[in-house]
Amino acid sequence: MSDESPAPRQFVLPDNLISFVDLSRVRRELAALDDSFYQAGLRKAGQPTQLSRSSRTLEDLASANQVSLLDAAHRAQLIATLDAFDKQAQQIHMSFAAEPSAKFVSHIIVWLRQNIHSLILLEIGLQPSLAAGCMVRTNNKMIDMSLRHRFFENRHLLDQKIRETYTP
Amino acid sequence: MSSAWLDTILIVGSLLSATLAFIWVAYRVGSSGSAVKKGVEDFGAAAEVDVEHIFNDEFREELRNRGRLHFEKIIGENAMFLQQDLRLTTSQINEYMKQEITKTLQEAFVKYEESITDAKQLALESIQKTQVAVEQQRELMGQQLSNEISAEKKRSLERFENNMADIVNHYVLAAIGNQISLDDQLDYILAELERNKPAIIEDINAGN
Repeated sequence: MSDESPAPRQFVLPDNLISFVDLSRVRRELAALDDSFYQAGLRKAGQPTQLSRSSRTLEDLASANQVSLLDAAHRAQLIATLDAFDKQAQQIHMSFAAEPSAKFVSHIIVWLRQNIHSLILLEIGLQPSLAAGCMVRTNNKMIDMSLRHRFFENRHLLDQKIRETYTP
Repeated sequence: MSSAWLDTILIVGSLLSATLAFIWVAYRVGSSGSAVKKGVEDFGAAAEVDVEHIFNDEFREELRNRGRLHFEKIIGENAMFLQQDLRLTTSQINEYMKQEITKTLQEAFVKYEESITDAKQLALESIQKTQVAVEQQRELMGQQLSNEISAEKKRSLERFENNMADIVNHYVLAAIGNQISLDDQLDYILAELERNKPAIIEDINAGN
């Protein structure tokens, strides 16, 4: 273990940490890991011990932020960072007509973190009536990017075509 | 029938006239006899002697015959005059009655014709007023119907235009909703996000 305190650097979220649910799960997992290491430090010689396993998301988070999960100080720093981030994290909600695949969500979150905010979280919802496209909801706005909205915006084209067809 | 009645009147009138003339002649003859008797009493005695010679039975019979003939002549003439007067009067009465009846009938016909004309005029005016009212009502109803049809057409068009997007969306969803993959929509969604990027960034920054 290293006693060096981690250098301050910008917090980074991995691509597979997408939502508040993921963030809470990673936070609980990290706390459990930290407890596990603490229990292991307290055990007497010869007693069996079982370290908790870390998920891929936690490992990616640690890797992305150059944190060693074996270092207690790094773990404590990461827990504090996650707690602070949990209170001020920005999130965006997107509704789709069907359950999106992981690959699809990954593409979306990458785009959002590259173009909107590097620490943004994404909540996925279902809205079958959309047919296609999606509905984006931020703190104060709701942006309809569905096919239904596109139909509504371009209804004059259909109206014009109908009039052309039925005008004698 | 009226001719028989007139003949009866003529005969009765002739008989009455003859009776009156006979009574008058008898009265005159009687009164002249008594006057001669009073006026010439002195001569009466002298005449009585010769009277039987002058006014003998033959002469008296001759006078009676002459008087009878004269009386019959007068009676006949009077009867003829009376008959002529009666015929003339009857003719005048007939003519007068005919004129009066014709005049009355003409007046009645004129009044009847005027009444008919007035009634006809009233009926025509009433029919014309009814026709005008019906025409106005028809125009009003036509206008109302046209307005209602236009309003309903406008409402239908507005309802169709307002719900057009939902109708088409429902149709697309029902027709190919299950065949639209989200992976296939990725480019479209990213393009839409790119299009709304400033608005999203603005809202995210406002929330910080």
